[in-house]
Formats: sequence, C-alpha cells, structure tokens
Amino acid sequence: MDLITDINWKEHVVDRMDTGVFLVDRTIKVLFWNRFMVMHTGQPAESVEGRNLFELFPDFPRRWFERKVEGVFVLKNQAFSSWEQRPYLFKFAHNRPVTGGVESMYQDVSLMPVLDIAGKAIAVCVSIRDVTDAAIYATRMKETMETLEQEKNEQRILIKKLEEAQSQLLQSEKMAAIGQLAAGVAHEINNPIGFIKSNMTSLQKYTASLVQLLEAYIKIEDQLDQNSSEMQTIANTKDQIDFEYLVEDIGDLMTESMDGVNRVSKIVKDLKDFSHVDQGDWKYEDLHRCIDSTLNVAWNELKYKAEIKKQYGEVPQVFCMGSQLNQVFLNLLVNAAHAIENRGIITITTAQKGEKVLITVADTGSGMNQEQLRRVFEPFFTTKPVGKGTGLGMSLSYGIIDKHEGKIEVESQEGEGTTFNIWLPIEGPATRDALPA
Amino acid sequence: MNPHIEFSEDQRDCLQEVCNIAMGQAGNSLARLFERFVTLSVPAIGFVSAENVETELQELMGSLMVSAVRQAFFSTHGKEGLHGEAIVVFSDTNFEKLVQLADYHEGPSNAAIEQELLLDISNVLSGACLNGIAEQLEEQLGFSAPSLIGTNIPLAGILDHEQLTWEQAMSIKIGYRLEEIEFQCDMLLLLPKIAVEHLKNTLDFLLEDD
Repeated sequence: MDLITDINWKEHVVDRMDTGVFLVDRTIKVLFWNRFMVMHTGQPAESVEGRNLFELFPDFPRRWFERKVEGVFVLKNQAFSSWEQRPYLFKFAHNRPVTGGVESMYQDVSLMPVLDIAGKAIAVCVSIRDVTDAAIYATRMKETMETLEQEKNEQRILIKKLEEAQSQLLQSEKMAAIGQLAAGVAHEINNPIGFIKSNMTSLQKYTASLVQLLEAYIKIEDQLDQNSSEMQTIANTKDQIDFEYLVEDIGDLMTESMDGVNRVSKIVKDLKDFSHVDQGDWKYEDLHRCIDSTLNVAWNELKYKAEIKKQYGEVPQVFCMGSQLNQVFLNLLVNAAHAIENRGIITITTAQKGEKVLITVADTGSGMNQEQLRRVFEPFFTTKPVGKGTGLGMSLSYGIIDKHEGKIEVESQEGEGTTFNIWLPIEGPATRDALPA
Repeated sequence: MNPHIEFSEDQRDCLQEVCNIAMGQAGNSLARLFERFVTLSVPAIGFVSAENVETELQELMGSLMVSAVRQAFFSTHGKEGLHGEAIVVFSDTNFEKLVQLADYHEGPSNAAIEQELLLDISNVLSGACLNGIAEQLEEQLGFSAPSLIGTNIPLAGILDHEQLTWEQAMSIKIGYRLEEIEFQCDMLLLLPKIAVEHLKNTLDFLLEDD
C-alpha cells in the first residue's frame, strides 16, 4: 500500500486528468485549479486560487452558479449541467484548432460536495468534461432526424395527393366507361328510333287522310234512308267505338307519340355528344362573345327567372371549340334558372388567372346538398322532376371541359345558391398538336 | 423463481417508516434551499408491471400531458445496493413558476432554459429524497446526470412498453407541493427486482435490530 500512499494525488492525478477540475468554497472562492483549467483558461493556478471566481471571469453565469453551489451545500448532493441546455460553462477554445467546425468546446459539468470527516460540506468540486465530439455527432443526428421527419411529411402529403389523383382518375374512368356504354346504347337505339320516327310521320299523315275520307263519307250519310238497317248498323258501330272521341283523340295521340319519339332521339343525340365530343372546330375564340350568344339563345328561359349580372374581366382569346363551350354555358345557365324558384340573380364572371381563364356562373337558387354535390357530374343524375331533365347536361359539360384539359368545379350552399367554376387553359389542351384541324 | 416481488407486512411497514423519516429530512433541506415551505406527500409504495405500465402510470399520476425528467441512482454497494431510476413528472410547467423555484433569472423563456430548469429542479428533488432514504439504509448513492424524457408528451410515452426488459418493478411515489407559488410535481422512484431483493434483506436486518 506504500505505492498508493506515496502518490501525490493532487499533483500527479487530479492535476493531470483530461477533465477540468476546480474547487470552490461557499463564497465561490477558488480553492483548487487543475492543469486542464490552466491550459484552457490561460490562468495559472497561483493567480486563480484564493480569488473569487466571478472576479476572474466576469461573464460567468453568476446567479445560476451560486444557486447550484448552494444546492450542493444544503443537500450534499451532486448537481449537473448538460451541453444540450447550456453548451459551455467556460468559453474554451475547442479541441479542433485545425479541423474546425465548432465555435467552442461543448461541456458537461457536474458539481459534487466535498465533505469533511464529520460529513459537513466544506467545498464544491466542479468537473468539466469536453463532450464536443459527442455534441457534434448528436447535433448532426438531430438535424438528420429533422430532415428525415420533414421528408416523411412531404411524402405523406404526396401520398395524399396521389390518392386524390387516383380517385379523380377513377371518376374519369367511370365517366369514360359510361360514355362508351352510352355510345353503344345510343347507336342501338338510333336506328329503330329513326324508322319509328319516319313511320310515325307517315302514320300521322295517313290517319289524317283516313279521317278526311271518313268525313267525306259522313257528309253523304244524310242522303241515306235514316231507318235503313245499314244506317242502323253505322249508328251502332259509331256508338260502340265512341267515334267522335276517337277522331278527336287520334290526332292528340299521334302528336304526343311524335313528341315522345323526338324526346327519345334528343336523349340519344345528347348521349352521343357525351360519348364523343369531337365535332366542332378548334380555334381561338372570344369567350365573351360565346357567352353572349348563349345568353341570346337561352333568353327565353332566363328572362322571367333571373337578372343577369355580367362581370367580364380582361380575358385573352382562348383556343377551344366554341360550339361545345356554348353547350356548357347553356347548360349552366338553364340549370341556374331552374334552381331559382321565384326570381334571382345569375352572375357571370370572367378573369385571367395566369395561363388559365376562369369563368364563374353563380346563381342565388336553391343550392344543393352534399349528396347532390357529389353526384352532380354523374350521367343521368338529375334533381329535376321526372321528364324535365335527362341528367346528361352536367356530365356532358364535364366531358367537354375535360376535352379542353380544363377543370369544372362546383360549390353550393343549400338555400343560398350554387357556383360553377370553369378553368380553361388559354392555349388549349397540351395535346393540341394531335387534335384534328 | 417467483416472478412477483412480494413484501411481508413488516417489511412494508419498515420501508414506509424509512421513507417517511427520509421525507421529513428532505422536506427540511428543500425548504432551506427554496426558502419556502415544501409539502411532501406520504410516499406511496407499490408495484408496477411492465405489461400494464401505461394504465398503472395513468392511475398513479393522473394527468395526460406531462414533462418528465429521469435520473439513474446507484449505490456504492453496486448491483447489490439501492439502485434504480427516479422520474420526476411535471404536469404544469409554467416557466415563471420554475424561475421562482430555481431562483435564478435567465431573461426571456426559451426551450433550453426551460429544460435546464426542469433538470435542475428534478435533480434537487430526487437528490434530497434519495439521499435521505439511503442514509436510513446506511448506504451512499451516486447519481447520473438527469436527462429529459420529453416536454409536453403523453404520460404513456414516459415508459416505452416495448423497450422494458423487466416484468415488475417497485414504485415509490412522492408528491411535492409549494403552496406559496402553487407549484407541484410528482416523483416516481422505480426499483428493479434485484434492487428490491436487496432492499428486503436490508429491511429484515433493520427489523432484527429493533
């Protein structure tokens, strides 16, 4: 054990540790200052020991350190300070004078009570560990984690966008499928409806001629013997078949049937339009002129229902199929008028938004609920009474705007009205070079 | 081997007594340090199982969003001595109150200063109590530097069920209250099974002495 007792602990062990070690008393007077402290502060032990720490280092966090030391004295318990919250206790040069990268040495500090034999705290021993390397590593790690977290968030947003895009794709797939079906059905119906229509026209003429002939016969009935059995038979038959009503009704029936056939063929035509919106010319059109001409066409439907407010902005000519867009405008305007119960306002606004033109048609009508809003572009979906609408107008419009690589959006508040926004690219679809001239 | 730690009634009473005496001393020195009267609750001794740690923590601590600091303590007797972790849970980390308590001023609040205050206060509280208990058991303790588990995190996030390697641990819950500044927090001392086995022996030894 001689070896151990012979060791000069202070000078040869504590002094040379690669840890800063110093002792202070309760008044923060320095009692001991090891070589690490000398090297890093540039203050030799002789000029530090016996003096107040705050005198020597005026920048030292005084109140904090006093409270800490007091805690150690009172509780005879260790205290700590970590580089994460307080990067350093003394502003020492870091250990990288050549490789650099940090401003100053990061330090972990602990304060422990020095007790006398009676167990009374007489001093506080402060040790300072250089944790610069670990701190740099941890800081970089934290930064990397933050970057990762950020990237993860961006990915989450992207995935959400993808999901939205997919659901939109599904919607347009659905539209396309229904379009194809509609085209097939329309084609199948078109032929029979064609000959039914032409036969009906002939039948209408024929029945009119037959009635004419009958009327001629009726005129000569007076000349016959009214008591003859032939006359009796004629009178009986007339009674039986309710002749007068029949003659009156036959014309109505024919007219009604023709109306029905015409309605069917209009639906078929709309269906065909919906399925291949390809007729019409692609050229630069003045949208204001398109809207105005549509307003003229629809005037009869609109004039008793709504006041039209035009808020036209500065809008360049748009590369589009004017006749098709007219159909969209017509649809929106007529629908707006139908949504208005008594009298309301339809506002048409246009504006240029970057590479696009925004056309807004807003009404003060009855609006739509969530379910209706969701289905508004669905073919055959209609809020109108049976027989009043085909439910194809909006899906047709959707198809037309889609062809233009534009966007049609709808906002609605039940009881307050509906607003349709149409976005059209000024230069037409990106694939315009491939369009039929 | 029975995985469950059990205490005899005598052992439990003895530990309660030890804790109560230690808390008296701790309250005394904390009051001297803070220059305010500190109320300590009677230590509640219990056991938590890793399996139900979340619900048990909930029952024990109550509040949902907390800030928490952990600190390891170990004995000069090594694995055979009193060792474990102290977790101090703050349910209300009002910066001004923390400043009032620590009694040092650092200007406007920022995250690092607030964290440092939490660490310092935790260190003082756990040091005062644990040294008191150790003294009764005639042991000497050392402490690791306190580290932050998190600020404003869900209570369940304090102990990650997935990472726990033990099945059961002993818990001693102590509540601190400073009426004057309406400050309060709770400390949970958690002792692993091996430390508890040793503690039982020590308690038996103390009981024989009486």
